Amino acid sequence: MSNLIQVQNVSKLFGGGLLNRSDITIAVDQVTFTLSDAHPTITAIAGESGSGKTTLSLLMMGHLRPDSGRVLYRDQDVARMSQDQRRAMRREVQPIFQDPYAAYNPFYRVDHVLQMPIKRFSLAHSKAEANTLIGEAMEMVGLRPAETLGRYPHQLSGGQRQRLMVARALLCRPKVVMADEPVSMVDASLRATILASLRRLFQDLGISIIYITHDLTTAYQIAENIMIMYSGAVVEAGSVDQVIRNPQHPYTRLLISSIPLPDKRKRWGGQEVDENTSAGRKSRGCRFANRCPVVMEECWSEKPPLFAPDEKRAVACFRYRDNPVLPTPDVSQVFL
Amino acid sequence: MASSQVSRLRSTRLNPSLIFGAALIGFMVLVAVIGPSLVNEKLARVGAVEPNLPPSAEYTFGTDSQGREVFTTLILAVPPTLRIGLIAGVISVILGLVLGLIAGFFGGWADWVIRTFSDVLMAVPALAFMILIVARMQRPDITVVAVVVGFLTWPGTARGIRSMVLSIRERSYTAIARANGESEVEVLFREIMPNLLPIMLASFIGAVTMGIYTVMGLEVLGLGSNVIPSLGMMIFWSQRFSAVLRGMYWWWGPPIIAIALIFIGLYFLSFGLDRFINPAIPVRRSRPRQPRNRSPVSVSAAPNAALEVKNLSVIYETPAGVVKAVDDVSFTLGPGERMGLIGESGSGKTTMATAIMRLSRPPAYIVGGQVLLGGQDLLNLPDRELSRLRLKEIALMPQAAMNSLNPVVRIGAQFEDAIATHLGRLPRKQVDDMITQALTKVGLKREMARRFPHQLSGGMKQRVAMAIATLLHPKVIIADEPTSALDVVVQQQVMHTLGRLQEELGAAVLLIGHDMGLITQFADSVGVLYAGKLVERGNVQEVLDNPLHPYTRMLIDSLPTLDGKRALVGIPGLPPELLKLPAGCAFHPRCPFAMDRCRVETPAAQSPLAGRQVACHLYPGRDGLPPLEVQIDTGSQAALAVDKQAGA
Repeated sequence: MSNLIQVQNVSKLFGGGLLNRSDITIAVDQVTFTLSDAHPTITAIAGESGSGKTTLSLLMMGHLRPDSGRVLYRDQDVARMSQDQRRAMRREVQPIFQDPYAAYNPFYRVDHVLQMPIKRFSLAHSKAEANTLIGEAMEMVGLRPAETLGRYPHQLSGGQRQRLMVARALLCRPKVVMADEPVSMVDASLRATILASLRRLFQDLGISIIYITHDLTTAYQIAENIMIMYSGAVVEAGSVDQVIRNPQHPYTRLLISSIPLPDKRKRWGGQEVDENTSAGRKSRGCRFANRCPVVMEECWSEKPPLFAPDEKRAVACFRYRDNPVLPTPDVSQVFL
Repeated sequence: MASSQVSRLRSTRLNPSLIFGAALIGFMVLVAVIGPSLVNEKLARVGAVEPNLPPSAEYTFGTDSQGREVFTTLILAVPPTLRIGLIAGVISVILGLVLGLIAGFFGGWADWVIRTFSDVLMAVPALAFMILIVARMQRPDITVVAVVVGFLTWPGTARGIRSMVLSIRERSYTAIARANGESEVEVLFREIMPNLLPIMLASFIGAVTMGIYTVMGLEVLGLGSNVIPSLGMMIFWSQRFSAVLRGMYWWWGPPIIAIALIFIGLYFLSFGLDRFINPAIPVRRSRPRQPRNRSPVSVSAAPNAALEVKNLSVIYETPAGVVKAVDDVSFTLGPGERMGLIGESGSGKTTMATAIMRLSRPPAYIVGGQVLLGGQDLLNLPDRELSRLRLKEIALMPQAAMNSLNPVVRIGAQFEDAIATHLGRLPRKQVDDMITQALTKVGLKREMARRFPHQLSGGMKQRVAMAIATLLHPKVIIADEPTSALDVVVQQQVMHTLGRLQEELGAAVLLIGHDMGLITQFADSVGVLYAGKLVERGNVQEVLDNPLHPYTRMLIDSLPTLDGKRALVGIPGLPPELLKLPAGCAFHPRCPFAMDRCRVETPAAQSPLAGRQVACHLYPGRDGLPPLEVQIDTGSQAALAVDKQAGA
């Protein structure tokens, strides 16, 4: 077995003090999936704000500890790693964050973030070798060292800053890049270039990418597989062609019909606002019940398991109860 | 203007306050360091010279009633005073830094203990506490006081450091540093500490001031050392021996001036430092230069236009120079028309929305043009007339309008404010009816009026903001990115509500945004802004199907779709820097069709097709763009190849 990251039945709770049990929110709710070492992929984790997608990524990087379940990195429990193992994991799992400005320490020139990994991970034996590595990484993302290095972060544009962050991640020779909304704060005309450079890491270097986003159109363009999260749980998973072009879960359908497409001939659907629906009703079963247009009685009391209506798709919805339940809760078995 | 643009415009950081403060304090320090070696110490001893002499050639500042020469005493008094400040400052900053770092970086119970202890210390009245301490001492030692002041003032420093550390820890660069292999200790010393320097300096100056101030207070009360002269003791002696009554201004004057110079220096230093740290604090340099044509009514408005913007120009005055944020923009908004205005950050879209409402604030100044609303030029109206029109005729939903709701006022009361301002006092019933009606229009129940903003979701708040903006049935609504912070499902609901409202009121809407999809679905027509200029305008679907400006074309091509996977092609090059706008057409460095003419001559707006406007030298002479040479289907490499060609 060559498993890079295994997320095993992981849950994470937030809030709620000693005296206040009612304020607890379940940020991540029993998520299981596997990222294989042998077969690199681009996997999108998509959902709205509060869906738990960022929390899940922080759990995967070991920045947060799960309240139940385990995260394994190369078959090692991330919560019980030795210092050395943790360092190795840090290098192999590289983050890219949403705000390309906050990712730079304003005190230093941008070179700082490129030189540190080379020093700390002993990636080069000489200064010349280090410069070559930096030059290569920058070329990979379409930046020229002469125009970029030696400057302070505020002297670069948002697009340049984010591409430099991709180059930084690349320098560390990672196995996985965790990109959390990498283009949502970048101008539209520059997004494509950044996504293209991410895709190149995958295509040319075989680096797996976890692409965390609320934007299904970019997820569709860049990723092979996708997990749709709602309120901490995976509601639908599969290949992007299946899930996005032919969504099954009522929530996925709502998400996709709400996307405003740049073509007037395509209707902008979505959901009517109605304050009188079951919005107030509490569900002990499916979390989407109080917003679901096709809710059934059992949804309120029972949590839907992941059903497999076709080979490359898992849906957590009772409308698919005639289909077999996924043999194990690991959603990656329906991935390409 | 986007923050990245503003930060790029920062240049001169050294300000006069900083220089003046540093010079003054530098001078006092110089006096303290070399002064004592230049004067004859003996002249400051009691009985050294003849008493009560006014200033003369021999004794520059005269002598006091105890037979001391005032000038020599003054010079000798400066070092102890400054030393006291130094001791207090150093102790305060060291303690504050260490404890603040521990509290902020490690948190947990250490944080709790430090915070509780500092809260207790902060409640101690410093001067009264000192009087107690000093009064109990056999021989008052003012150094002890300085040390105690240091101990009493660290909580302020520690708090500042703690909150700064907490905020830096949240910034992703510390996470990036860990990913780069830095250890926790390294993150602390390499990433966090350098950014604490400014706040440490400011705290240091604060503690120095506090130290000198407290010790002065004690000394003036007579609780100082009688042996070593200090500025405070000089003042104490002079009042003890009735220098004021006896008209011996030369005795009490110089120490007061010296101490005043120290405090003034410290004040300007910390004020200047504040400016240095936060260069974004606006410096108001000149009066706004709003155009006043003094030609009131006789403006020719286009017939049948809800809003007409003519040659509008807005500049920003920055330390690095003047930038044109909106450059000669003209367009007409028909009654009931929904127009989208699309542009990337720094394109001037928000600046323009603000200018249309004449709400521009320094450093932004409207320098030309007209905004015609029902035959009146908004830019040329008396202020009272203008505020009467706002909300009634034209309303702005500013960016993140939902955050502009007052958090401590119930939703209903926020409506009442708007009603009272524009319609005066109305009967209770009528006001309630108006509020209910406005809420119903945006799909909210009347009970919402009794709630506070924090009890509402983001989408509901945005709808409240919309209800307030349309309360008085304006004919023109300007919505600046009304859904930028909302999720896609809520975005659709909010925009749907805005659309319904627009239809009911028959109002024209100017929707400002950066999402081509959103503008396509909502608007009838679209205007494309690039570097402050309107480069294309037309029916939204026609523009999508046949973009005329190369920028519009490339912007549309860079949009991801759900129709099928295709290569991700961005626009090569960088967005323009407003301070260094290219000559000619601002887009020419990124344009695949750029000709020699584009580099020198700014293209004027033309109309190659009916209902379309474009500012590009490719026209007239054609009715569409030539095919792009970049191959769309060669994979992601294409985007990068193009990018490098054009020199990213």
